[in-house]
Amino acid sequence: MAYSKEVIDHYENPRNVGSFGKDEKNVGTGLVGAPSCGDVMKLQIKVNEQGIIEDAKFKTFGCGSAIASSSLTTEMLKGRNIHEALDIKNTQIVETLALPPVKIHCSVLAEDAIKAAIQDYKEKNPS
Amino acid sequence: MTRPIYLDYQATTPSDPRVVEAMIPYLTGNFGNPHSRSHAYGWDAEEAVEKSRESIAHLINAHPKEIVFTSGATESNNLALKGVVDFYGQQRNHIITSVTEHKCVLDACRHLEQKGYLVTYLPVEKNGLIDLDVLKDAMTEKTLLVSIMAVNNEIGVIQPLAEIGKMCRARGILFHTDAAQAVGKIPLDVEAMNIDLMSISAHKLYGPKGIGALYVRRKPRVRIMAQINGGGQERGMRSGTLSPALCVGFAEACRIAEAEMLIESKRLLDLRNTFYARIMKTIPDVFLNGDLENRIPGNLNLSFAYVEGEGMMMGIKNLAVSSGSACTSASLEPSYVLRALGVSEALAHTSLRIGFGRFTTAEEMHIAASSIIEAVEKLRAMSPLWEMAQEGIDVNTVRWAGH
Amino acid sequence: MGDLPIYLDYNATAPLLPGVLEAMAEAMAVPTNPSALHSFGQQAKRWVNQSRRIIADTIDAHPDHIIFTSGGTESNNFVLKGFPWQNVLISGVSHDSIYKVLASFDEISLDSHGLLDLSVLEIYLKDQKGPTLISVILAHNESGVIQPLDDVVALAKKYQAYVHVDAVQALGKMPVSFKKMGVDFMTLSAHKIGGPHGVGVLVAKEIFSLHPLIEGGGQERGHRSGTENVPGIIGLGAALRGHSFDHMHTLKRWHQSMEEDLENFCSDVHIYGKDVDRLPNTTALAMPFVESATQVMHFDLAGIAVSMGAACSSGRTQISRSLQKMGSNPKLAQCAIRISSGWNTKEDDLKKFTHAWKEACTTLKKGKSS
Repeated sequence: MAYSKEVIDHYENPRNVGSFGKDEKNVGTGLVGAPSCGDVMKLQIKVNEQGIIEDAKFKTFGCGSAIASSSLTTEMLKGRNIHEALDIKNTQIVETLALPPVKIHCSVLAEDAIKAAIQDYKEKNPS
Repeated sequence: MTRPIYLDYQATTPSDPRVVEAMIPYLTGNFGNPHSRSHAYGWDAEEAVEKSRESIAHLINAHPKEIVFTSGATESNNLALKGVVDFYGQQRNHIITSVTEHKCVLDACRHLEQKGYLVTYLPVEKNGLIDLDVLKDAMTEKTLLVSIMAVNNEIGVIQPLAEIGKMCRARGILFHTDAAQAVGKIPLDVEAMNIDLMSISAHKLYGPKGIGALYVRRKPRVRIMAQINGGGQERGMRSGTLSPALCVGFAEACRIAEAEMLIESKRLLDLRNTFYARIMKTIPDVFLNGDLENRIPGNLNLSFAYVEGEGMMMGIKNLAVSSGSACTSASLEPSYVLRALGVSEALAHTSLRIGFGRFTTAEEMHIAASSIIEAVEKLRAMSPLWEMAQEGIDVNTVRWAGH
Repeated sequence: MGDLPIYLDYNATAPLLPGVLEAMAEAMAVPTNPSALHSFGQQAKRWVNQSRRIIADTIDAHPDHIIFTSGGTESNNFVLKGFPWQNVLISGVSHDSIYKVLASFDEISLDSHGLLDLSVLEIYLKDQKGPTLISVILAHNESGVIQPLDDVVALAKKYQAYVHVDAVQALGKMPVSFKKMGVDFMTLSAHKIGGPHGVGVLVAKEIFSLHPLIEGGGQERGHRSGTENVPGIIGLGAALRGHSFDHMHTLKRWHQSMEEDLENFCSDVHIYGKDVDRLPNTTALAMPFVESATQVMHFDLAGIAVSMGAACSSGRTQISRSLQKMGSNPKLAQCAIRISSGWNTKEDDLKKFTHAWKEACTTLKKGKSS
């Protein structure tokens, strides 16, 4: 399996690995995938009062492409407001990481994780 | 970049340098077609082929005339199953095999099912071995053939061949075994084990690629219908020009395996046990797939819970191992062999097959253990499943959305 | 083997071309399973696909249409058995791996030169019901006679039949273009052109209509299972790369002058396919009244390796089926031998053969012809 330089970089130097307290009010947590499918992503965002994502963290069970997709996603999320964050599409991840067709599902999972994290945040903070 | 440490000896083995050396004369000076009956080039080639048959037969206690050369074990398995059914299928229509057989046996069986034959796929126990009572219950008067592999390619477990052979012989049922992973690694005796047909691969025992054999019993005589016809080579059972170089290389590989099996098995067992002990002592939540006792010395198949196999392989790029997770092939299904043992899909995704072989050194084994330990620790630190397990959440009780 | 005899049996098998063994050696020393995901496996996969491209380029086909097999025999069986053909039309000069595969087929007769009788072929095609396959041996292994493939393909198109061409002997000895020929299937073999034994190819345009002969791990995109013979496949690629047509033109000249020489010496020598297109390296010839086996023994003593026809007929020393079916006198086949030259043949080799043949003609025929 040939991995792109970008995937290898994110796999070897993953950005923003870790966790926030998932009960904190300003944290949104998305947990997507399933162990039986071979990928689970946990994506967390920390949102400030202006609705800007100040920080993001991930933990991922999966192949190198899944780990790289989550790592890249945390970078893309930081600094966006939560509405803009929903504009992130899996195709951007595919392009940035040069994912082969068999690994596109990893990027889809990352997009799902963003949606789930924002959903969780919104449920905790009804406006 | 230096080459990774090769720990995938069940996928294939490099040719032993002695094998290559034995082949060279037949790739240069003695290049004849062994079926040319009109000149010395052909006679020399034929003699080399016939002498090769002897070494191969000797390793499994067979007669040279019982060795049919093929292009490899996949062809041998196809030939054994389809060839027996094409010959005797009118009389009996039932075949018994197991769910953990190599894909080519399963595919050949499916092919036979489509043609109207009945196939029983025996389950395996948690340790990967078939239950002889279940086998006995599956046998009927219509059973023509039992095909059970000698050694599993993923988990290395050794099936009770002698017992199966005895049961088959007592009932007049033919016994075929796919011994691609077994020949040259464990002692095999077609007489003592009552084996009627045996598939052999050269490239799994440090021989060349492109050649294998099917052992076909002569007394009592077992008949098969050829699947590749033409010049009528191999006494009509398999047509096609034989390669003297490949035959000679195959034979040399068998000769070496026979001469060195005892010492080599012990060495590999030591390597494997040291490796296994180190892993188990250092990392928690590692599970061995398949029986430890009834197993070829060079194989381990381990599930490293909470760490996905392919992601793990990327973290141990200095090692060439194989992952039980089939994520890169088009399907996302994990190994059917592990699933058959009752290993959960989640755990099957975390497994690695580690194969030690003739050229593995103790130093390489230790480097491999260190690399794996390091990778597991790193990946668990970024695994949400590991985190949940540490928090006391049973991952199996979580409702996953899937995707 | 001591002093090596002169080898004039290239159509049985050819010695490895220079550079082939060297190309294979690297792959023999490492574990090569192209299905493995690690770097050894990926390198093996690159090697296999590199050879696939060389072959595709050489014969003007798409790489996706190349399926590696264990040899010509398997490839031929694959085409014949891989589809429920309603009619299969083959000729008496086809190789045993075509002629002896199916229980039923129709045989297209040959004219006195050994060429397919196209009018007979057309009669069968008019009559066909359901999918029909015509299998043609492009160049005959024993006589070297080249069949009128273009005419066969034109007829096949007219009646919507499929064409399989067995190009095992043709490859490397005459231009072979899958695309230009317009056939559906083509069989190739490595060891006949100076590549290793144990490797063949089936080129298939209608690839998805064939059911695999060997099932299992799904290698070769599902069409042929079994771990690839990586060193062998590399060897085939290297042989095609190292092959040169120049020597074929020279061989043609040498064979022509040898044949003329023999005809001048002995008026009743019979050269098969003399008046039609033949491979440049092949001469099948009969020395009336002297049995093939006797001649072969004579040449063996003279240190020259020739053959009495196809080498694939293991264990038998029979009269050649296909030579019997060629020409006006079937009995002549009992007195026929074949000489076939190749990349390492020297002009002197053929001169020595000519000399030995004349000698045989003088001594062996004595007292038999009258």
